[in-house]
Amino acid sequence: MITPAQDGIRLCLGVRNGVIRDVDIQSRRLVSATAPLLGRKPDQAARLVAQLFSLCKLAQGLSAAQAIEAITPDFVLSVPQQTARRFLLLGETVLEHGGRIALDWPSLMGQQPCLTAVKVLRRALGDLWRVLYPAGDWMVPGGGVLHIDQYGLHQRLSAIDDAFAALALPSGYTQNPGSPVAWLLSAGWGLDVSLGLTALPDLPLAELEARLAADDGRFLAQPDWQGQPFETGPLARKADHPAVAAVIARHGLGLAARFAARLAELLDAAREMRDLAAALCNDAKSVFPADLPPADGVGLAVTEAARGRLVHRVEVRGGLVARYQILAPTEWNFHPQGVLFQALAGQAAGNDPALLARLAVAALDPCVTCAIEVK
Amino acid sequence: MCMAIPSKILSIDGEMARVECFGVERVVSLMLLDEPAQVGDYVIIQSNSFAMEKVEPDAAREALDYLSQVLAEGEGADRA
Repeated sequence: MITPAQDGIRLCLGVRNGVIRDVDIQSRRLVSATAPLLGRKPDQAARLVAQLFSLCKLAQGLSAAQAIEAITPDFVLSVPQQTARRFLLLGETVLEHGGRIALDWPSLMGQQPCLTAVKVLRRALGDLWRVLYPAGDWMVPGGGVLHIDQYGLHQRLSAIDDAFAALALPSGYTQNPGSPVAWLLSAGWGLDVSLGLTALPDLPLAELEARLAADDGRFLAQPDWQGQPFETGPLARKADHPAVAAVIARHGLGLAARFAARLAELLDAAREMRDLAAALCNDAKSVFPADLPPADGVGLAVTEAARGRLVHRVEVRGGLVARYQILAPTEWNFHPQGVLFQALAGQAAGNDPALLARLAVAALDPCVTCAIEVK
Repeated sequence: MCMAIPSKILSIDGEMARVECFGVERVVSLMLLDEPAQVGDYVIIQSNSFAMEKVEPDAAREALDYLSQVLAEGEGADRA
């Protein structure tokens, strides 16, 4: 039995004649984690989801709220709540991407992780909801009580700048997020591996809903669309960004492009947060009939979390959660024939194929635990 | 997807701690914690090697109870 502490991906590489011939990706992720949500009231389920996820916590909690709201067909979230939720998701993107860049990129260059930047980001963004939703009800369906702490808000935005200044990246990266790529490539780790891009497109909601409704667990574990696995995450969203496009033109659609896209998205998210801050405003408790969600119905939410596309689906019967499904981005990217497989299969093994695998994982989904074996 | 699984601190040696979660022990860094930690505290581990935040004992126990329930029910059809 896999325990939560052993959760993760197991990657087994078969090397013959200096080439990675076999790439076996097995998910050991503890993914059947939604069963205990069954039988709870929908708003209780949303609160529990927010409590149980440490990474993409806000994306998870807000997706749960949005899925529950979607059970009421004509419900429209107020503009202040929409703005606040967008702001929180951006903050989480800055925290996740900035944290990974601070921890992983210096290591690629043989340097110490940039712990100061991580600590500053965590202090500023780890509980960003406090300056918007002081009661902690940010995940309540319909929205919580918005009461903006302007002083705290601007302190936290200012701390993001401090964290960026502490990142051990070549100067000029904030103007050109493609610039550190040459620096990363200089380490000679094989970041220029070419693997193309099959970006996850917008999925028609009715078809996605039908696919999830009929799923026996296989779609959630190894998702495909029309028989094809897709990539989701920063590069799938940012391939057209000028700095990323320049990296792609020069170095191809390899791991370097994935790193550049993460940095571009980090900087864009921080910029959008600053722009959005002026639009944040107080909002009384929403008019969503929290105690009157339809007794029966289905709700679907699609969120672009920092790591990629996140889908929540909830079925309510008799006022209680009867089924809860989460389709996570990791399952797309680490599909047995997905982008991780493509990044490694057929590549020259070099002196250290395990290192190449670690780089690929870091480029695609740096938050997932991955055990690598080379045969 | 990346659940917040609390680990209990068993011992501390400088900036490092031995933690336990569902019977699995490992050594992690405490350098990213914003507040002092002590033996018996619950922490969330990320990147397999850093304690990122402390968790209140009640919240930790609720999360562990939930995960125990998941394990007891085995691999369900609906996955996260």
